[in-house]
Amino acid sequence: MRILFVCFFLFFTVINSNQYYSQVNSVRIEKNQNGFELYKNNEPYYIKGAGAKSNFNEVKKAGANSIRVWSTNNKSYLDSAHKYGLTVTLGLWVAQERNGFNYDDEYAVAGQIALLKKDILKLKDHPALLMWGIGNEVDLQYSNFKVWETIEEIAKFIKKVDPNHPTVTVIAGLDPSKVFMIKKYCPSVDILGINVYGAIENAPINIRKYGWEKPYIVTEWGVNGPFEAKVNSWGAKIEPTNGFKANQRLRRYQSIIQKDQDLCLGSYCFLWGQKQESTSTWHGMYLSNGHPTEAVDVMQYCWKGEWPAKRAPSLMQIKLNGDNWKKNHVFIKNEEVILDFIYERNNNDSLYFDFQLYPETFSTKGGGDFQKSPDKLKFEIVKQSENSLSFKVPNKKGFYRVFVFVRNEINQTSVANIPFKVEQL
Amino acid sequence: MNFIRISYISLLFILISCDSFKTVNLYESVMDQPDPYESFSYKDIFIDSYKSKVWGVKSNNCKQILFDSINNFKGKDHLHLIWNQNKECKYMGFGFAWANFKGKNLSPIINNSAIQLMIRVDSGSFSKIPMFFSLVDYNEKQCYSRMNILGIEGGVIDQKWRKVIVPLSTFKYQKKGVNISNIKELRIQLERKGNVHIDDLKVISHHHPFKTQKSNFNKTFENFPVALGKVKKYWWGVNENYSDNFKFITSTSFISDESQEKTDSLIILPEFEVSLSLDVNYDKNSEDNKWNNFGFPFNKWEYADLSNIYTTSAIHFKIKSSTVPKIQLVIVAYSGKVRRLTKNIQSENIITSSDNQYLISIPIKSFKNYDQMNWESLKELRFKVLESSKFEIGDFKIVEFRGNPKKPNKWRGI
Repeated sequence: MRILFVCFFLFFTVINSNQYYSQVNSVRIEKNQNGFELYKNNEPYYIKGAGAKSNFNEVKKAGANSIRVWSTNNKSYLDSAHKYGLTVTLGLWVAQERNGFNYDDEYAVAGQIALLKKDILKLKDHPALLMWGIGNEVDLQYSNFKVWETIEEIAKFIKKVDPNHPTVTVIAGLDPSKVFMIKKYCPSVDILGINVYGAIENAPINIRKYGWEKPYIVTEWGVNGPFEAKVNSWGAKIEPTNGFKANQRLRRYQSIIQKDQDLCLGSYCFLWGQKQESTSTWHGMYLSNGHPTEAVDVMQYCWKGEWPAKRAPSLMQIKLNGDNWKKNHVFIKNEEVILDFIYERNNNDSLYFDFQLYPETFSTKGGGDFQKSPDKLKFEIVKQSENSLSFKVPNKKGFYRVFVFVRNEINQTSVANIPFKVEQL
Repeated sequence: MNFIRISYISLLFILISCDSFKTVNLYESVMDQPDPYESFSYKDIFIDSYKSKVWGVKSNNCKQILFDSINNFKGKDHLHLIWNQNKECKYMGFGFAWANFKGKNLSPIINNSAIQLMIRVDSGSFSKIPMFFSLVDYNEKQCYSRMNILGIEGGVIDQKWRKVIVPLSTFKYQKKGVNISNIKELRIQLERKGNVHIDDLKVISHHHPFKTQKSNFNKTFENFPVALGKVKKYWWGVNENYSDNFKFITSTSFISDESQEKTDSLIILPEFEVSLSLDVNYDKNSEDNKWNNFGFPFNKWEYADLSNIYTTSAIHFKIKSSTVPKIQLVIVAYSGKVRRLTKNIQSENIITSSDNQYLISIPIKSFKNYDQMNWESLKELRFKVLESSKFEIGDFKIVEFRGNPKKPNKWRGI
């Protein structure tokens, strides 16, 4: 009886493990007369993706089929993505020179490679895995081209142990020198991943000009980044309104990404979540309180071709004392000023407004490096109406930023902000 | 008789003298030097809380440093570290008094010793732990090192006591200005979140075979002329699969005498092709009117250092056309506050013309903000065609020019 039980147990263990492995995606790239095409389990697969670590259910509902994560430090992202039927471009975090890593240090380099090889072996058969993202923006502010040797060593190892998943390395913007280096040093890289914000406008032509001969993926895209933004006279970055950004996202997806299906295998919008990057609302398609912004609606339209039944309102314009968000706004201590905001209701009956004041952060960090969120400041509201707010600026010299949030009853939100300076009389 | 006597005495003297000679080796034997590691007196850093002092062990919201007495590796107890970084945590570290804070000279052992500790966790398995080690001198200067998977026994930290080795040479003391001959203490600093047991910290003899050698991707240019754009594979912007605006001509009439000289480029570019030029056929109203620029690096897409010659240099090239087209030049650097210098070809830059062939000379000093550029890390030279035109362009080089940058045809320097 005991033998029978053991046989039964072993049989089911084998069946189960085979089931697991039979779910491993077989992903390959084919070149045909129309260009390059990605195949997942022998079916053409165009990546409709988001850079995401949360809200996987929402990203799936919006019509995406894949997410991108930047490192292997949390396997639950893979499990969760699989649960929602999403694939994952899984980042292998390759240390960046700008954060102190020395690619001339043989010990550090060998240790990093050994660590990543372990991760590859551990995760290569995960059923959510679509491809390996080797490094993210290792080229940003770098000076030691040896980093490409590390990228190649990892890519070569993947080719050896995991024939099912292609390799992509992700660079910060396009540049002929980077394309040359990757072609020269990294022959085992199958796909070029490009993080392009403002530079997405010319990405399809530039990738051809610079001589990249394999396919590419737009691994991060969205609105122009803080590093590309105009600054006012005291150096505060000027952030466009959510409405402006939504239109920009839609145009970029439809007229740039979708149009280049010869070389482009798909894209991952940035960021399906929230993070502080100069402001708390610059790239995030969600707010820190978890509310979705109108960018989520836009992405659904991009992926599904239809707007959600209920849409977020859209803040198009914001003004302080009659001057728009692109101007310099300077006030004296405790001055009463009027904040005007123009928005589209998008068929929402009830709208709720919130106003928040923060000190200016003046962050000079780049490449998505961690930035600390400032604490909210208290301020005096004098009068509020449907389209404007009278408030008193702080009684202290300094640099500030006032935010307007407008949401509907299911918390779909639009946001805009405007920086200002308080001076002494 | 006297002669015999003198000879006899001399012989006797020599024999006696020889007898007193001592045998010596060709090379003096050297006294055995003591092994620096063996001579190092402060090998133990932590044995247990009874024998070793540890500071910073007070528990708070960020960390707990406990002395557990169950399942020790050595001694009567060991360290159990539990930490979770949050906004309130200003500093999450603790230190070992290590020989009662005596100043320790690590310089004799820096290259042949390591810090060794034993480590385990209560559950799971890890290949890295978010903590780092710092050596602190008496000026409170610190240098750091981390665990490397290659220094972890079996490459994994799990429930078994595992040996971890952190070579002393991985602490970058020179970079951090730490006085390695007067080290006060060893600290462990904790990051993010973790829960580990550590025990038996000590200095061991260790051979570390890895090196840190500075890469060199630089080429310094000191002689004129510097030939540019001679190798196809380094160019960008020429891709006939997508645009016919730019096409290579490999048997151009632009052959200069200087190209036969032994220039800097000849030395570094064995695949030199002296006859390369570009056929430009650009229509501003065509569909691919955005395909209007091309470029090539100064030094194979590595760093080109022109800092010794840029002030006395001009960019030269030839154009074959009925008229000189409107072209913008862009010099691009890899680093520096100003990374791009731009300039359009002006009439004064056209220094000779014959049979529809023009020699263009653009002194570096005529580029606006040229003195703010980092000339040690030059990247590339770009060309942008600004209007519809047909021409051939080639024979790019940097030549000597010492005249007035606004009058490049007054002193050619070639």
